Amino acid sequence: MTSVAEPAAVPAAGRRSRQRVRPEVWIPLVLLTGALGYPLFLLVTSAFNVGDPQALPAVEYGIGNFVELLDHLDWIRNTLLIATGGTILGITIGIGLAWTIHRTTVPGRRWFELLVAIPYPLGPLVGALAWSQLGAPRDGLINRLFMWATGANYPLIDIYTPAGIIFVEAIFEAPVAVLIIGAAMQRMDPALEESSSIFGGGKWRTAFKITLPLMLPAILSAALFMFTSIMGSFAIPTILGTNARFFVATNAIYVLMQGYPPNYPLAAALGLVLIAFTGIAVWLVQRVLRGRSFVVVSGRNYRPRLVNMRGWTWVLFALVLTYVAISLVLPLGALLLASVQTSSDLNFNPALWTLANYKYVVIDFPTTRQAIVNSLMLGVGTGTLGVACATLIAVAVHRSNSSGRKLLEQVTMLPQAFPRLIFAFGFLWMVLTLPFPLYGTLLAVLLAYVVVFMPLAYRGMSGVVVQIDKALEEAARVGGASWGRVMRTITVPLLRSGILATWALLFMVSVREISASLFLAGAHNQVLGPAIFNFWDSGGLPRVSALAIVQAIIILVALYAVRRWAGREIKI
Amino acid sequence: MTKRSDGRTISASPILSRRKLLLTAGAGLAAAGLPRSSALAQASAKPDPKAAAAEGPVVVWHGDQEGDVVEFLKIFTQKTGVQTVQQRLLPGAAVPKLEAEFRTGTSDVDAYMTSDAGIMETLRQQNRLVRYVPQEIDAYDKSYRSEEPGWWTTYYINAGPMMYDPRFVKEEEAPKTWTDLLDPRWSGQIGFQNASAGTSYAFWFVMKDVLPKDFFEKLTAQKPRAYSSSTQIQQDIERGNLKIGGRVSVFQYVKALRAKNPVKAVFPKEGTPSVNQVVGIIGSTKRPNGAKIFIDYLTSREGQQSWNDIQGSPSARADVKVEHVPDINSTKLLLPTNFAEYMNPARRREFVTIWNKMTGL
Repeated sequence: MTSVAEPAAVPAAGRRSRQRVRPEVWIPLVLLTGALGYPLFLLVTSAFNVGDPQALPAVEYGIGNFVELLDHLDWIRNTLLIATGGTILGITIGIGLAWTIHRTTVPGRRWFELLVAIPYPLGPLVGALAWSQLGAPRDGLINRLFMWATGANYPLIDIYTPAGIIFVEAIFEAPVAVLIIGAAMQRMDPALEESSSIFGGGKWRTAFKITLPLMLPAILSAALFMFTSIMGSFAIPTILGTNARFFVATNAIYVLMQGYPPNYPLAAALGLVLIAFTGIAVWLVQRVLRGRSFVVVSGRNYRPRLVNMRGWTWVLFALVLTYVAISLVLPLGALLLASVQTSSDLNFNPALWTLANYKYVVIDFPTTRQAIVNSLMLGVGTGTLGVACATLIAVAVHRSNSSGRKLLEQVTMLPQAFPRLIFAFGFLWMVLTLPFPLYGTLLAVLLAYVVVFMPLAYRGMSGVVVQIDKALEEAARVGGASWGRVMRTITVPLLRSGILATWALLFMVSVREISASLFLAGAHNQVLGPAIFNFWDSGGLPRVSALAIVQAIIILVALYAVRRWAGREIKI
Repeated sequence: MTKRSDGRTISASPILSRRKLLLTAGAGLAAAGLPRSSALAQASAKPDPKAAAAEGPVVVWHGDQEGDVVEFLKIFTQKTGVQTVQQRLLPGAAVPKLEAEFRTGTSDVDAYMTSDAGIMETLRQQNRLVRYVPQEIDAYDKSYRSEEPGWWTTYYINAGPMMYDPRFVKEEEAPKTWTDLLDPRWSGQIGFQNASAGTSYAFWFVMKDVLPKDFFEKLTAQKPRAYSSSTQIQQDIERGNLKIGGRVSVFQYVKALRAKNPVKAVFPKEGTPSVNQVVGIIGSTKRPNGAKIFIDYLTSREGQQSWNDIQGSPSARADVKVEHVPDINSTKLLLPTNFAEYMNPARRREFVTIWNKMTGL
């Protein structure tokens, strides 16, 4: 992700008109501030609540909960360990993959570009479930194969460890780094690399000394995105860590809120600490980038020369293939195998396999049936509403002369700093206290999704909006076209590929979502993420695997449909 | 038990009036000091199936295995025509949700099934239950129903033995008593449900008075692992990733036997901690007729046979027998009996602190 370019200098008349905040800025600003501010307010008041833990709003205030957190510094330390480790590993994988796919002549680049992107929409829940079957110390498929092949009586890997959690986090977040860094690499001016070659810089030296430093903004953006995502990650530490007594902030918060009586204030205090750490990370990245020029990665379109790595080509090919295997083929294979079993003990004899688990989750079990339908509706709703809102905000930020645009952009990106589990917790309280009946409805889940995914939607749409020459719209306005006509006939058609890509991305992340819906889904509004989580809880391995495969199929079909519809112009 | 048979069709408006009447009657009669016979008559008012159909699907909250509940609810619907929707919420998740819903007037749950009879009794004392005496209440021993019948009834007994898989733990080495869990060989290899489970609370509550004072302290040093369900514990035992299930619901043992998995259950001589899994109707029910029909069916002989056959659990009714289920009459069950203490919020907070620490939180 490159930083979004600022519009050209505003003429004098424009400056005068910027004195007031126009509706296209203040309306979304007010709505977003309300949707974020009220849950945050409830979280803050709860974090400082030292009276009745379930009082809402609190009546006694103090810092006792933060003091109590001092007894649980391991939760924060573990969170930082996982987030830092996962980010370093994920970024390393991402840089390697992006460079190999976008800047070298490695064979199969087109396929690899698609294949390395898929693990992200499949999501951490699928990843954690799959790797719990691959890397469990005694009966994980990899360990069984290792012990069978070597005769060893000890496992090769143990996924229920901090290292295992970091590994799974990294491989399922790496596609984001590939997308962000790869986009920057494709737009890079090749002049500096060519100069390096002319002056005798070898291919590896040029890659490390020229290409890599030029990618710094994109790398830091990707690192920030990954760091915040992993800090708020729920499914992977819960599935791989809780049973192993390994607690990070999110699974600790979940357990604190599940115990009876629940300890909401301590959970809220921990959530605020998490938000604070995310804020510090954002500030650090901005500080690193401040005052430095990376203009070679923006502006004109370039087509950088591909590097022929000669003898290394097949090594790189093998490395990319390995990534595809560990992030896609093995996880889906493990889930497929588990989904046709009759018990949690995996059997390799096809004669004993069954499709009954699929029939059960898709046809017989009303809860999952409802969850599948609801998730599809939510995916379409989040995609449509999210893209519409993000487009309007992006147009307001980059096209309007109103003041407050920068603030609108910052507020739009704010949910990125909120771990989704924490946000959902505050959002649930807000929904409960609203004077109209939103609680327990699918609309409540939809609104939560739109808010939490707004940074993703806005990032996608603003990147497209800034690429469209403003002159086209201005020409139409000069020709007498109304604002609506300009949007319909000029802006939206030009934004088509961006809209489709963002819509598809929102659809996929909504379908795989779990943290935000865990507290908001109920008997009448079941959705897939929590349904899979509940199955993991009490449904048994074969059935949860079948449901995870169904979710993966929905996501892959959506991906295929959008790519087929939009052609290769979209990058998901 | 007084029964009333009025097969009237009731229109929307009277249903509301009737609901209000029932709510008021159920929640307030005891407190208002009305004659017991009158209260009982109200509480025994037979539900109207047609009104139930008009009310819509009964919302059932439970903490059981979701698949088992759905299977049972399907049979219930086939038998009675009453539709249902369900949500699995362990007590730790259900009660705060219920509290929040009560405060904001958004409660939608009708029937609540829980492993924590203390919570149900607390709800009764808070006038948050509707009293309805099931038609077959006489089949239940007094220890398996609320003191005043109709507030809540036990729909199965959840005994919690230790469990292990002899493929991974030699029978002679397996723990025979609760204090055997303190053997260093089981360090990091004992699994319990986390603090959100009512069965965990009951385990702590009854065992703290039976076992040595420092038992839980020593158990904490063994670094037990917390699971969110007994299914997960059972699964990890069968996969060889966990040696000992510290307290596993007995139906998991029965399910394993049915699947021909060679697990063993240990019912120690000190006693087996157990809970009454109880069901009641929430006071703010929007579907009182459907909820009553549900309670009637679940507690009936037919319903009990059906439910316990599905789950593999012992019924509280003496006339219901389920294959593979150990005879609870020959087992020393340790059930919470001191309800005042069991419901004490300070005691619960103490439990959560101890249990979270024990399981590494």
